[in-house]
Amino acid sequence: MDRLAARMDTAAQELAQVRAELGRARPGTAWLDAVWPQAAIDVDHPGSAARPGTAGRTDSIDLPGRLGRLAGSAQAQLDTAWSARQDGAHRSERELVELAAAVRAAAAGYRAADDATGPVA
Amino acid sequence: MDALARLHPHTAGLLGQVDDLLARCGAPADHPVWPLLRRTGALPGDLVGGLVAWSPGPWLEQAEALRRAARDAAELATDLPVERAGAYGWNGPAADAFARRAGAVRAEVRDWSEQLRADAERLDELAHWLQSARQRAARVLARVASSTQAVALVTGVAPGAPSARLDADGGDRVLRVRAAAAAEIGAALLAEFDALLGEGEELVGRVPIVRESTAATLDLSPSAAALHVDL
Repeated sequence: MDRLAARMDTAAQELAQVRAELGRARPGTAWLDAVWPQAAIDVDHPGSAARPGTAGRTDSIDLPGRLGRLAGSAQAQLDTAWSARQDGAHRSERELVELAAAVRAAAAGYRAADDATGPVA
Repeated sequence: MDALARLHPHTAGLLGQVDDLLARCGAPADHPVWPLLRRTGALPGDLVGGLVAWSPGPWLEQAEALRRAARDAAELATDLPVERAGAYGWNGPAADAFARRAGAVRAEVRDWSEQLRADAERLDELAHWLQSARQRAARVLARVASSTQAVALVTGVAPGAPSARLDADGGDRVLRVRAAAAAEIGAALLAEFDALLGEGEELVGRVPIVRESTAATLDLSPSAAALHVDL
């Protein structure tokens, strides 16, 4: 039974690892990490392309108009799904750990009974 | 680097002039560029630039990461020692309770794995739309950049007209010709964006069902206590 408990613990750890790898690949930066496009080199007018106040800005970008709203909606949808997946994995991990603890507790109970009455079988 | 990314640096100057002329000079009241501007909510050069910045690459990579995680989770679920407590020397009601609870957890993990696959498909779908949108934008951009309107925009000479620079009112006339060309180019670009944005909105509007993982049907928590009782 100790081996069974250890197996459940290992499963919980493996699931935690999968969740961690998933966390590293979190969606949401399809455009946020990009450089504002107007900073692209204008071959006809070098040095004229950067938008005012955005030179060198790489942290966040507001896409214009309807394009921005669409990107925001898509991202919000992906974020919602992402959070649900993370929560689901976390819940399963917790349950695996609880199961392992339950098996250990059961094993301890058996051992206590053995000590008190001698081996049953 | 796709066609749009390659083309954009070479057309940024033209797009800048289109945006500038539209903002400064506008267009006739009945010109089709007006409803398109209202619908898209941005100037054509800004829209093209925005689409250039919006890369499908991260979504495709994330979809692959999700598929890997789904595979790992499915294997993990299969390997869970459900209904095999006996193999570990454990039998009886407590072992049966364990099997039921572990079976529920395995179902949850499998469900989670399937949801990850569905998420990956969704990311693929969005990324493919974005790739297609970029291709279409590149095509229309190439078309307008090589059009007679582009020549008129740059030179201020209407197609087929003699040089306007010799006229007494050459300055105004050049500006009018350039503004008219900008409105035509802007309308062509915005019409394509209006269509591709509509398709993107339809795709995003088909909201996938975000399922919560099914809760364990057997609530034995605190687990240890429940199993002790069985003993």
